[in-house]
Amino acid sequence: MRLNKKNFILASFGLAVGILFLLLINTNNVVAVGEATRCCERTVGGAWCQDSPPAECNDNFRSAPTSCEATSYCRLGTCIDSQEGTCLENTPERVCEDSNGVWNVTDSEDIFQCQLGCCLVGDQAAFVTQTRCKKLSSDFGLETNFRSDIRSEVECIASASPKVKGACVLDTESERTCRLLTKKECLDLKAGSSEETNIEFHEGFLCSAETLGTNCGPTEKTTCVEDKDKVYFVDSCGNLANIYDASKIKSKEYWSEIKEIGESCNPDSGNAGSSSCGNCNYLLGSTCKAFERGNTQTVRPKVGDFVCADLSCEYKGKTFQHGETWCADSSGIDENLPGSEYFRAVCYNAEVTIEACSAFRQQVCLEDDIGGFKTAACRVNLWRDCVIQDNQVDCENTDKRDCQWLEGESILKSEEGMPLVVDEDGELVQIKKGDKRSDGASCLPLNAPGFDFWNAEGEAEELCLIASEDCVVRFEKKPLLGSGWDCKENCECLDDDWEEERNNICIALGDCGSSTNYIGVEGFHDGSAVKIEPLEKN
Amino acid sequence: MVELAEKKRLKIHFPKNSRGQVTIFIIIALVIVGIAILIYFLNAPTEITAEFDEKNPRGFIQFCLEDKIEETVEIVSSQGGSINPENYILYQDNRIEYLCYTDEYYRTCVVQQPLLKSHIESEIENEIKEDVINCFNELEESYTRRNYNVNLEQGKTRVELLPKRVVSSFDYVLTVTKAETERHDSFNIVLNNNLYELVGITNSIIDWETTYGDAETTIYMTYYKDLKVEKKKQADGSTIYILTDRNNENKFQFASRSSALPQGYGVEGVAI
Repeated sequence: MRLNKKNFILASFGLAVGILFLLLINTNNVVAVGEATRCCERTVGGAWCQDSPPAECNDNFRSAPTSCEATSYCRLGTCIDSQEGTCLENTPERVCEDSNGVWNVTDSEDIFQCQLGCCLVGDQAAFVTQTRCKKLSSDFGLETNFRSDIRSEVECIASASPKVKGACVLDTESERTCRLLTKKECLDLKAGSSEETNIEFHEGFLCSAETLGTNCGPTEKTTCVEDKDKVYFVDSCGNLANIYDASKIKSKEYWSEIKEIGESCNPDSGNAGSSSCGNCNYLLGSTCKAFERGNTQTVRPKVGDFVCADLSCEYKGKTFQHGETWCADSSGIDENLPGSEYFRAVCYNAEVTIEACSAFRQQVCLEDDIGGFKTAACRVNLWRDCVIQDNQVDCENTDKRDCQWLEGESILKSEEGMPLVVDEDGELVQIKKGDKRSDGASCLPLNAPGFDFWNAEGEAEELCLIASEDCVVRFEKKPLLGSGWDCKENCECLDDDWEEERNNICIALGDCGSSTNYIGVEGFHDGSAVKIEPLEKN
Repeated sequence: MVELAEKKRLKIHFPKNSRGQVTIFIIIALVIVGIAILIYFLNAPTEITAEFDEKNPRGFIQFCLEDKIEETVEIVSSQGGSINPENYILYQDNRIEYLCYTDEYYRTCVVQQPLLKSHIESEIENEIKEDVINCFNELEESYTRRNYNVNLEQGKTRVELLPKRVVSSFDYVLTVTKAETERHDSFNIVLNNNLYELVGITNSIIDWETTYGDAETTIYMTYYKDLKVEKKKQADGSTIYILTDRNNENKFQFASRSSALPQGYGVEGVAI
């Protein structure tokens, strides 16, 4: 900022607002100037450890005239649940201990019990603490396998591998049947069976394999499996076989050996809407579902009752892919009309959910399209320090703020309260003789925020005042015989353009002035009116 | 009197064609009354008392308590894990407990319920405690009425959230003697419910809220294909999260207020 060098002052409103803003950002603990806050161990509303006005503190609990971080009872730290093996930061000591947790002042990454590793439970993997791993294993009734050497979640998930299955053939006097099991399950079965039953395990083989000579054979039945997204064939004994592929129904080889996903039909596609291939992929927008007549998600399969259901969504006549997010249309948002809000739409599992961004347009929705796949997010509307920017470069620095440089009138003033104009470097400088007021510029929010203008204690009035302007137009009586008055100073303030320009500044600042709201109802308070009042005759 | 009545009856004359009409009207009236009675009984709340089978006391307890447990789990799930939320936000007439909260602007929230799973378990335990005692007393009385000698040792009630189920265990021992003595213990009720999984996701969302002031819903829906995560931002900066299992419609909803942004600069009441 080169503001000081050039000996300018900010407009009084802008300065005050800016200082208050910086105060808020830097100290993070200003709630209301002039009203001291206390650390309430509990508020009357039931919240724990809040820096609140004294009236909010519950008298039955402790409170101190300091911030909670400085107290012993409300210090924030990590709460360790030693039963479940979880660690939660930002927890007050008192709250943690009351819940029978173990509290530690340090961050979770520095606490031994909170160190994460890879927990392999059955076919699944979770990146959790060792205690959590033991708890998960006991909850699921499976053995613990904790790998502390795996240090990232991605590596952990990649290390989860389903145990190799195979045909567990059970040969009794009466029949030779089969079950598709892991080797361990088959050996356990063997250990618990009678001597007359001969059990053998054939790794990688399906029960329907002809070479095994069991009573299990191919069928035209298919099924879905819990926690998996593919459609599977089922053999005549009810065992799962390979992924459904209508072209392989007669293939002896396909009914003999277990095939990898990559060896099955169309492995690189989600196969949504395919009647012949059950190699669905949730991440690519499909999952196994029963065929339903009239349901556009599913098509009639060539064989069996299950298909890869299409998880894409229809929204306002457009089709969106499963997993896509986009900024939803909402009335009045193009012009940031009072009451309008930004929304994000999310398509998952053939269902669109709408998420509102923060109210009063304190967040805006941003959208990007990468290779035809839309992604959107609500992001903070960085409008708060726009009005104090005095040059175009700083104003339009999108890394720091969401502002626009509006040429015309300047809302910043010189020390003497004179209007500012833009010089050749794009900076606001003092007005010189010959310059017009309209040679200035103002830095204003790109997305006008909303204000609670109906709230008498709110800030709307003060904030909107930033755009108000007193323009003193000087007239001189025509000399000698001339009749009437000649405009001598600030004559442009009498033009319609000036009024429009001031109104544009007003609207860009937020919910200021009088405008139509997001549902098309016109405002009844004439906030943008220009008033012309004679000052004095001199 | 009888004679008078008979005379009166005899005095009633109907023309031939209208007599048939009256019969039809009477039949219609009877049918209407019958239907009305039927509707009344079908709609009337019937008080179903637990069936007592002396051979199956566990069945009695199951029948007596399962509705209460189911109802309690539903209430707790819709109110952020508490039966009587204290620090809550009203959303669609539901009081939803803040699991992470700050009343300030710009700051991330402070955890309000760090051991959520055990909190929910104890909330359910406390809520069903009285019904458990009543049901076991009722069971005892049913045996006594059938001339059994009954000894009921009261024990603890324990509720545990486990994968895909909520297990309520009652550490009661019932000994009944008539011709012979029978001892019944390990009374359990298993409710199929995904609260365990939903609480796990909730903890992760709270972790995000404390660190970043927000949580990204799509991450969870990408990882868990049967999960729906809805985020409802409120005007005061609060966020309500609704987690739903798409398979069985089990829901868990809770509130958080973190990194809230004010209208204006958040300096209400200050003259600038």
